[in-house]
Amino acid sequence: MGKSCFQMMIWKGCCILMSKKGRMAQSILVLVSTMSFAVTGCRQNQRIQTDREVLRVGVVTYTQDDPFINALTDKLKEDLKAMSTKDVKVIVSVKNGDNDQKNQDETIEEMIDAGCDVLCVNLVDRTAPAKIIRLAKQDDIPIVFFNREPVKEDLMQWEYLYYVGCKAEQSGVMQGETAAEYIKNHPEVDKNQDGKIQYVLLEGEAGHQDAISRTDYSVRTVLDAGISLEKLSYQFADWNRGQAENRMNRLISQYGEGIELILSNNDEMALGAVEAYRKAGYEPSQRPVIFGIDGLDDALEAIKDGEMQGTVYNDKEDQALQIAKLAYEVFKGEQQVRKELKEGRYYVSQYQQVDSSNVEEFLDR
Amino acid sequence: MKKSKFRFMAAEVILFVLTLFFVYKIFNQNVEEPRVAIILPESGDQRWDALIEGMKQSASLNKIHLIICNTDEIEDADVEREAIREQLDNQVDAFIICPSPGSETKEMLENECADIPILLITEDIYDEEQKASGLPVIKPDYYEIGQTLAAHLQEDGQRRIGVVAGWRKSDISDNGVRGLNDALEGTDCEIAWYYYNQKEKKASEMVSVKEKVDAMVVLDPDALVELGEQAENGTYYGAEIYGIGSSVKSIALLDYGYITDIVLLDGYEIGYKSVEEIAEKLNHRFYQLESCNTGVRELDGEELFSDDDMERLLYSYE
Repeated sequence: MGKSCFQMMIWKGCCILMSKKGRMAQSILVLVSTMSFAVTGCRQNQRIQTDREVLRVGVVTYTQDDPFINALTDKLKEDLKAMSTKDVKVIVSVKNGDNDQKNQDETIEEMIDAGCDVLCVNLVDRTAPAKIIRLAKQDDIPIVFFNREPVKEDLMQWEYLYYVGCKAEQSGVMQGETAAEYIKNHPEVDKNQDGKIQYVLLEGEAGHQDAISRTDYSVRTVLDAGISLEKLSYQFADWNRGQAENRMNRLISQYGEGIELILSNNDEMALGAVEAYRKAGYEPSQRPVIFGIDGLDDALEAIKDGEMQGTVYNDKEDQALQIAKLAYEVFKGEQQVRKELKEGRYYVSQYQQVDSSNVEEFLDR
Repeated sequence: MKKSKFRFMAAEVILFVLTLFFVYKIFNQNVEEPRVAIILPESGDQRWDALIEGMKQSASLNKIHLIICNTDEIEDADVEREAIREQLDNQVDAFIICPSPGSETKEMLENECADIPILLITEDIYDEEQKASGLPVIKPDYYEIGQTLAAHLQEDGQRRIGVVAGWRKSDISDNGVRGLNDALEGTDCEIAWYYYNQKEKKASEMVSVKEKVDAMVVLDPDALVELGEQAENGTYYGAEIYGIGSSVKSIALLDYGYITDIVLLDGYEIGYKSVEEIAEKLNHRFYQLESCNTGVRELDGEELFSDDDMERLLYSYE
């Protein structure tokens, strides 16, 4: 019964199509099917597969104005490109967050939208990676954080989050050791011979974990070495050479030759201090001893020229290579590098002390 | 009786119109914004800041979803082809592309984007006989820029000139150099050498071994910044620098006196107009994309901040 009803309906439908009114419906039906076929056909044509596997790495830094981060990123790019083979092509795209976490979140969202396999992120705010992690997790894109360490709870949120960097405390300790050794071997550092070293601190950012650790451990190490210190001033210069130069100009006009030691959270700010003394017309013998952290080329040159006395080398070559290896390995689903990571997530690179005795070795890198 | 029948019919018509309206609204709400892929070499580089800013503002007004492709250097048509194919797979509706250097780019674009609107920006593609591609393009007039720079060289009394011309067979190198040559013909200025970009070589290093000249005309905005920075670091050999700028860095170098004179491209305008044009095409199927020339701004160190419109210009580069 059901079957005969269905047959009757088809028959009726055919009759309608055959009738005059039906011819119009028939034409519309044909037109619509042709158009929909054409549209879907176009879309299918557009789906072209490439033979070679492509690894797209998105690198997002916190700013484009930090020479250390720029040098690290250049090295990372070089290492990733060197990993291209005839089967895998590596494309690296570098963007920055313009020193604003919201901007960085948007940039990463755009990168994911355009297609990206692995992200390497140097956070603006190490305490605010939540949105980035959520976006990456949604699209299954692993993240290698570098240089600015997210808090452990954030990093443990998902298994494809890693961190490559150093321990800020170590750089502080090493800076303190280099400074203490130099002061012990050069009594002329204490220009007024009062038994105390009058010092100035150049700090990165207020409340920044790395700035706090570097300052704290550096000063503590100098004190532990039996050197008496007297703090004249501390200045926040946002890790920036120009800002440090401005702050130092003010301090130079206030204390003159009274400053005997400058401990800076990074080389950029230390170089700002060097520039301030140079412009103020101080001879190297009239200047305080200056110590930085990072091992920038300019700082190494300044140590060689006797304008700075020491720095702590932040091994960008090692870190860039580890980030590149991790990115490639995660993409290929391998485990070689990952199984060596601390807690399966952390790669901690080692700092190295630099002074005039070994600076040539680092300049050659 | 007739009256009530009329009322009934009128109510029916109103209800029918309202139904149509709401159905339209419901479906219209779920329509996705058209997706437009932007392909620029090294898309994260600061030279694109103003252009991307212009694009984003125009996209938000024209309800376009922009996809700014993650790219590295795009040295030839093959590299650009890969980026295009990936975005075709990403279901984009149109492309805005800064064409890769080389005359083969035109054929590649015509093959890959046969069924999809495409708009070129910043430069056109020229064949061996200097014939333009015929594809729609939004860009400045490089021939005129070449002439403008030549006029400045003459005003400043420069004699021997070196030219850093950018990538060979590009709009900048072909038309910019032609404009410069035409304007300098019959004058005291003499062009001593040309340098064209080479893969994985820095312009600043290559230029340092060239014959010494009074002034250099740098038509490639990247090389301009590179040479300006070299001057800033005190490692540059001394010729005055004239050229095409496209970033705030180039303005800063001009302000500090490391660059003598620049013709600044209005990246914001290129970005804004390109998205506006492609949106028009996507909204009206039969609209023909049109080419247009965008403005440039001549800047020299002395008059840099006397221009009232400078604030707006710098803001667009933020």
